[in-house]
Amino acid sequence: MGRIRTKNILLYFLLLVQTTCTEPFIIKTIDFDSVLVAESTVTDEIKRQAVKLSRTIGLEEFGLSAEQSADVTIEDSNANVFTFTYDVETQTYLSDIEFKAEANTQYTLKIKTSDGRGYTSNVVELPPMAQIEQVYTEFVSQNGKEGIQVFVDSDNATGAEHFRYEYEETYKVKLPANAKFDWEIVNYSDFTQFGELELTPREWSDEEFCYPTDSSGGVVQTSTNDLGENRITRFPIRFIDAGNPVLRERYSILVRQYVQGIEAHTFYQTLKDLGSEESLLSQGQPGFVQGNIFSDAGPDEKVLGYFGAASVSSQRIYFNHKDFGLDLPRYFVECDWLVSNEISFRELKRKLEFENYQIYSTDDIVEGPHYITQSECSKCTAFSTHIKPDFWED
Amino acid sequence: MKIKPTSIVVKHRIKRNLLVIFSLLGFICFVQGQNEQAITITFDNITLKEALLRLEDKTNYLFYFEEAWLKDHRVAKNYENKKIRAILNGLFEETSINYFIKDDRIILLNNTIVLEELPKDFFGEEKLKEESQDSSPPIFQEEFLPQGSDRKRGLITIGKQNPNSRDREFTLSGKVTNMNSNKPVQDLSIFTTNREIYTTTDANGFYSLKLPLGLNKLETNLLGYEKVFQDLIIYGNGTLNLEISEDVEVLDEVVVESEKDANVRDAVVGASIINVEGIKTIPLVLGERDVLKVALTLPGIKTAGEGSSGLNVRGGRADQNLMLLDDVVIYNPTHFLGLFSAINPFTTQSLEIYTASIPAEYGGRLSSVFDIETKTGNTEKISGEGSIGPITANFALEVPLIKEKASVIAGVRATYADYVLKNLDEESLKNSEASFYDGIVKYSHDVNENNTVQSTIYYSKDRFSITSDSVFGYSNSLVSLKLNHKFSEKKRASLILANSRYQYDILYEAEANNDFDFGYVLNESLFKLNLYNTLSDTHKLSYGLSSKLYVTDPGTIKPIGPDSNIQNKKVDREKGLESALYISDLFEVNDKLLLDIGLRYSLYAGLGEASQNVYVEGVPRNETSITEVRNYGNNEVIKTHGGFEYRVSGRYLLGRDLSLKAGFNRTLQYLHLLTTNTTMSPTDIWKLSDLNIKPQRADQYSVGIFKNIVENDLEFSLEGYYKKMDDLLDYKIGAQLILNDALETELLQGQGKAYGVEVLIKKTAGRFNGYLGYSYSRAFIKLNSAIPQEQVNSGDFFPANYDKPHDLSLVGNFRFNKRISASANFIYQTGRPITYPVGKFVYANEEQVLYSDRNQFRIPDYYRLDLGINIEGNHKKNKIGHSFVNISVYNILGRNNPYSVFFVNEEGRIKAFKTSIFSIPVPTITYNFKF
Repeated sequence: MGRIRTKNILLYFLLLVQTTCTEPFIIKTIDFDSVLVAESTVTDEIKRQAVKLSRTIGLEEFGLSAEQSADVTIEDSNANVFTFTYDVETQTYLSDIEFKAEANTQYTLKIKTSDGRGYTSNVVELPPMAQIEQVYTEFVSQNGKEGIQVFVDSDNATGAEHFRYEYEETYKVKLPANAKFDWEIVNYSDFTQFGELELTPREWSDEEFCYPTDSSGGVVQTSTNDLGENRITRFPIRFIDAGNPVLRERYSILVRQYVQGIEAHTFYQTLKDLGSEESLLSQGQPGFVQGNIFSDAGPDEKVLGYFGAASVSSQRIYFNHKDFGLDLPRYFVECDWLVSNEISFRELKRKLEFENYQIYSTDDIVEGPHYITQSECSKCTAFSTHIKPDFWED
Repeated sequence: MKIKPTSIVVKHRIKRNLLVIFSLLGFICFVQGQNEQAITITFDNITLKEALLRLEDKTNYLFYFEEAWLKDHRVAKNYENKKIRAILNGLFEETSINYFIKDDRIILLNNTIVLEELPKDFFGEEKLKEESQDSSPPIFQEEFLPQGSDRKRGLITIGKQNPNSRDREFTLSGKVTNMNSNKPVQDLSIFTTNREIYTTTDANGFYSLKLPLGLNKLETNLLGYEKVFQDLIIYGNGTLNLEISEDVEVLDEVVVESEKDANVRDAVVGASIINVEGIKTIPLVLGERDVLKVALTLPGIKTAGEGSSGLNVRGGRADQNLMLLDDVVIYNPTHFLGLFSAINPFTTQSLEIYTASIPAEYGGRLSSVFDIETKTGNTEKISGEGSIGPITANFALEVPLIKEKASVIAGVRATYADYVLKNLDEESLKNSEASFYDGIVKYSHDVNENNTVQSTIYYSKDRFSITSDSVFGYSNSLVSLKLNHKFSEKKRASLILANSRYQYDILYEAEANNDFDFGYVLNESLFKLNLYNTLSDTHKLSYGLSSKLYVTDPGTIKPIGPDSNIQNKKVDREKGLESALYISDLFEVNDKLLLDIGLRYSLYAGLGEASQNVYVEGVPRNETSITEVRNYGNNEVIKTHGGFEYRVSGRYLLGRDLSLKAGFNRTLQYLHLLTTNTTMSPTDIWKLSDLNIKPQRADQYSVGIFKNIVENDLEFSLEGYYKKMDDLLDYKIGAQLILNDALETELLQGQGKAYGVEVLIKKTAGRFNGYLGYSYSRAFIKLNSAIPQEQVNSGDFFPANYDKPHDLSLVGNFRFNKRISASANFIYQTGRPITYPVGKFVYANEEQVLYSDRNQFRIPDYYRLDLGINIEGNHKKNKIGHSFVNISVYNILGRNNPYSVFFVNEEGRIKAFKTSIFSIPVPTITYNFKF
């Protein structure tokens, strides 16, 4: 047998260095495609039905590129034609009359854009109806975070299988201060960097409470066929961290359940999967998500979006931090309480003009000193409304 | 290596001197006829030398000779009143010695004769007296003296020059043995370097070859053995026995050899052999000698990127390669998501790759066969080999069990990679674990002359975590048994029984109520019988049958812990039986045309127990379009698929070193890899064909021109191919492949086409050797359907993920001296196609990305340079151990080659990320030893 020689000792250096790296980068548009995006679900609620039209924007751009002057109609198999008109406030097309989708009726969305191009959706039909059984909350601890989980239970006795959820949360906010004055800077001299502040008292009494409303973002959906039994139980809709300021006064969530068909489910699921994909060493296959709206000119023009018909059921619940024995969450922002005679006039001017500070009280309306803070701490209209919604129950 | 010709070897130095003298003498000689006395003498079994000395005593002649020529010859003869010439003729009758008498001097010559006349047209007009001499023109050795040649062996002569011989061709025969084991070496090719004359050794190492009179340059070749170059002058029939050594300590050898010996000669197109011994000088990432990574440097073999385990051969998908380790399929031949290969380099003998002409005995994959063969253990003495690198330690041992008959080779490799992860600058990996190991044992036994047994057991295991709460593990277990039997010299058979099991497992433990354990298992069992029958010199048949049983459990999920509300779920087991009959004939039509005609009939049957959905035609397959659910009992046939596969190729010799080859190859594939990723990853699912899933089919047409320039050790090849594929399996965007009972609803089947031109230039020997490979190739896929949701890119052809048109690889070795050699790799590839965002939009109250057509854009081009240096231990002859150190730097240019680009929706906004692997130079030192 050969001997392993003593000189054959371990001899190596560990020169290992970082090898793999994943880094963010700024995406640049390399080839922009302006594609029509249509989003609409006609529901079985009597209301002005909505169609959202927009166009894709470049990767560096922000916001929404609305498609404003299109002819939008929904036709049904009973030869009814519902026309739509653009509503500037909601940036959507609303039906000129209120109507609801009926069972056993087929609907088609038709769009004619201002450049003369026509688009037509596939025919859709209302899926079976299913009621939300219960929307309820539980205090949970999840991924090291404590908070309140909103669940939904739903019955599907009618054979509904695919459920998409949207929610709308409205919460009452008590402002830490009230901006009592509207202000104006006059006689400001760049040389002396001094000027005068003119104040006008404003009506603020009903602004003590604000009622912001946020809509859910993203696709939340489920199917009964993933689950052991044929019903939706404890489906998590929204998790609210225990420290979330929405829980300070009173919080309300409206859960809307759309029963949809398999095609709609597939479309939304694909959209969701493409956006949430995360991987280190390998990558999923992204691609164009084909909906059910097509250009009349042929398949070469891409159209994004899905026209669906859904039966809707909704339920609203209210709660706040006390219902769960939680501490009062901190306010949304760290309020900055400043007094005008402790800062320069120039600084005061900057705070007011560029940082949206508000004057919430004053010792003397002309001389001051004036007490200022951010508008988020003192003015409902800075972030929502002071008008109590019709549905609100205290 | 040693050469032991039975004819007497002329010592080099003397030979040259003598040659000069004799050549000069040739000009001045004339016939010596006078003074011949009659001699009476008796030799009673004395040595030839003594006999000559005795002659000197009796006569006035003086003999001049080289003693060595006379060795081993004895004489027992009586001469009465004979002339000196008669005696000498008798004495030298059985030797290769000629003589020349000049006055009283007798000069002995080995092989050579000294002409008593100049050749006929030496001065243009002299007439020869004897007719016979012009039938065998004399050979002047000096014309053939190697001129500045670096041939490894000196010139030798075979047979005795006989001025009266009319033969123009002589038979050279002999036996080739392994220098170490003294065993005969089979299948060694021996050929003239111009490749016009060609033979191989038989099972007993014997060969025989007809060579033309005069100088012949011979060359031998057998994978794993040192090449021998031998120049010889043949004057008559003779023997040349060779002892050749295994090619183990040669650093300057060819890295990639063309199939067997003669790339020009064989009938197959698109075949390569990688000799694992030879790859040790190639610089590789983290010091791992990796036969699959070397394969990637060949034109026509690509991967989607570093760190992806799949190979794409000639525009084929990653699942279309039949990876065989000692005849068994190894499903995942990589460790750690493809960064390392799971093939132990120390126990591996060779890797044969067929990318175009796939032999008829192989089937079940469309694009290629990678046939990895494990070494046979040393039957003489215990030997071993090992290496220590920054990632793994590797050790292999060969142990003889029965001397010269049975042996075992075993190899183990394991990583200490856990610390590697801690050094990665990737947060998601930093706190994870990673371990892998693989082990192989091969037993070989020559039971008797006609029967041999081989058996291999292999196991590889990976276990690593990708996130802090999930652990991912996979393993391959292979067992194979091969019995070879020889009925006669012309008939052989081999029987193979094998089993391969691939499984993986994902454990998710986040201390939450959704902890689970997911498992996947694939098991295949193989029976195969191969028969070989040499019908004649022109027809060599091989035929056989094989049958394979697949059993997969495509997904099982179990809850972990009492709090988990994950439901137990198991996707139904799938079973299938793939059988084939095949026959092929290597038909030598004439000297120039060689055909390899193969035919394979394969039949696949999907077997129950199963339930299968029947869907309405023409609408998207989903739960609403199911018209019927059919249930099948255990082993009931669900559906059969099958067909003939044609494997035809041929070679036509256009010249001495130039040939043209062409081939047509049809293949069928019954199981398909499904992956949600663009590159192969271990969580992929192998799906068997069934009622709704058709087998994939491919037809490949290939042609090639092969040219060797022997004098410069250069080999050229130019190959082209066109490949058409049908029913490639793809899937809809966002498909859910795991735990899906109705997988067919997510799948699409489409067409593929690929074409390309491949150029390979090899310098096979010398101080500088290596190769340059370039390919221009395209690979396209088309997913068309009447249903818009099932179309990709409007149903047009689009580039496949691995479509990289330009691919250039340069691998070079330079030997400075016996101990130090340097090597370099340079790779350039077009960036691979990706689907890139072309816009944003808001949908469902969230920002979404609009993607381009699939694979419309490309990531930046890929290039990389690696350098390595090998320092050998000393080359003392009697050294017991042998060691070398390899220092290499991977990606020395520090090129940040993006591997993937992906987009994530974070808080309603799209963020882009790019990943690169080995973005900076990675230096490594590996210590290797063998004994």
